[in-house]
Amino acid sequence: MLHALIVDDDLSFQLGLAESVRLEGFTTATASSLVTARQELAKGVPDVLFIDLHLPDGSGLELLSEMEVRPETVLITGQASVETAVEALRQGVADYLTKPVDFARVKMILANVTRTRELKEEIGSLRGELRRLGRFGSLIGGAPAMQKVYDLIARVAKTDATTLITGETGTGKEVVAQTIHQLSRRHREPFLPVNCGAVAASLIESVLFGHERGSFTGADRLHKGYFERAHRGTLFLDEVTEMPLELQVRLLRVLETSEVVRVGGTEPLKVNVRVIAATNRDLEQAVADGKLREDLLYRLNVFPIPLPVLSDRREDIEPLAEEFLGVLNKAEGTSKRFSSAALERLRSHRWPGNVRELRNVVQRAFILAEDTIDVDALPLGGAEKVSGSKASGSTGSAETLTLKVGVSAAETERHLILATLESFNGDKQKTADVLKISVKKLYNRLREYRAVS
Amino acid sequence: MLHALIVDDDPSFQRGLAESLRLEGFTTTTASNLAVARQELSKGCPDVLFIDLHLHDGSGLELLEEMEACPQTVVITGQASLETAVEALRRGVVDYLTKPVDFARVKTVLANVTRTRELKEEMRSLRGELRKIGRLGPLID
Repeated sequence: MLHALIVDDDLSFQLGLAESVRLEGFTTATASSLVTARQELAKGVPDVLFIDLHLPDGSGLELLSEMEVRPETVLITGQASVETAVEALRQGVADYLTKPVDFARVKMILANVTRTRELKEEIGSLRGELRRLGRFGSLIGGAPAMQKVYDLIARVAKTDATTLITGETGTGKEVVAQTIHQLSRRHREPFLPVNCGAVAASLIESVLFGHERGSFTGADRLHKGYFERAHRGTLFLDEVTEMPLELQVRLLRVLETSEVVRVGGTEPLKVNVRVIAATNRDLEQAVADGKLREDLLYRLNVFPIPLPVLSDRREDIEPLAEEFLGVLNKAEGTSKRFSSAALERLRSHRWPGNVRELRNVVQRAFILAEDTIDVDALPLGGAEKVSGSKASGSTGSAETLTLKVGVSAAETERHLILATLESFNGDKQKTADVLKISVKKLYNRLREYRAVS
Repeated sequence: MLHALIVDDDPSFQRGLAESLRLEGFTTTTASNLAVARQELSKGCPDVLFIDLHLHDGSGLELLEEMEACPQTVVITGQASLETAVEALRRGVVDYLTKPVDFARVKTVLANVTRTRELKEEMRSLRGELRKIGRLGPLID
């Protein structure tokens, strides 16, 4: 049976509403102040919450901001203006009820609440089923190590808690951040990723916090920073340890006050942003090395999510590889497949570059192979690609190609062309531009490589 | 963009409602009787349908019975009684509006319609994903 909590200090209204809610088959509890409401909520979250805006000890909206998991909420108000409705909807309230009790309206509201609840339950059960099959939001894999990650994501997504994702390069930190956003009540609002390691130290302040017109040379107009643009949504700060220390102080202040001041500005602006940060560094080491302020670490580390390396979830290698191949097949209108020997080779590889390395290998093999992707099309021997070894000030996604001394010039060219093509996700024009060769030459080379393999 | 069809024979209410729907980002068409409404519906199903209970050529509820797959429907009524609400719910109506146009109410109704639509879309996309994996099932196992 569904349960309703009614919070209103008008006893006759409380009684009338409780009666009509019970007639619809709900159980009810009542409270006439925020204090007693909090006691009721401590016993358990009701299915529907009716709250008066004006209570003797504060506004009913306060309760909403305190709750981590919100029930369907209906606002009780003396008179409903468009402003009330707008404000209520912004707070995530499902409906409002005016006094005196309008029985037809109560009936309609409860029908809507019940329907929404049924849809959400259905969605929950579909998600559960997908999870059993190794799908969770945008994440793929059913390994026990990932099930733990899914549990953490499911718990934190419902809240606005600051989250810190840690894991080696290529373990999928951004995909995890996206999934948290998708499953949160902010999912219709923006999700903005910023790679703190990829923005020049001199620009990052204005990139994050914005700047006023004329605040520095070249600032010819007002610029809104990521915090402002992510208002009501989620901001993903990747490689947060690459942020200059003095900016870490400012970031900490923004996290504590929910206010930003643009560069060159004086007026603090209120922002409502959920922050998810990520790093591939060892946190304590980063603090010891002076790369990360300890106070910021404690503020970010409210809810840590450590990601497993790919070699700790070997059972996920095949579904991941099949997924990457499926996407390529769809985009190119092909139906290439892995041979069983190729799959075996993928499963046994060490994967120092994790899921990203796997994706790159699949992309390169896809380009090289005709219909069946066999072991010799997998670029796993000879040249070893090292992802994430980056020079300071580089973009963080910079990739290096390591070749053994003594490799032929033709082989070197082959590895260079394929690695470049792959880092531009198969964009042949860009690859040719960067390598300073003609697109025609690039096509010729690719044809040769294909013929050889 | 979401589309609304308004079926009401009171031109000033029709205009007021259409205006407030457009402000919420909906496109609108209007019809003032069942015959015109049927023509409009034959062109395509709107995302939300507003229908007056009492029209010159019959009750708006007739339309609901004729349609195979109903869009989310809101009934328009002079005064809402408990009986109206019960009857509307029995017919699968999602909400009702009383006259004159109450902008706060329209806003809330549309927010609920949009949310239900999003939840249904999410459900459909999760089902689609499940079907897709169903085909690949043995690979993942």
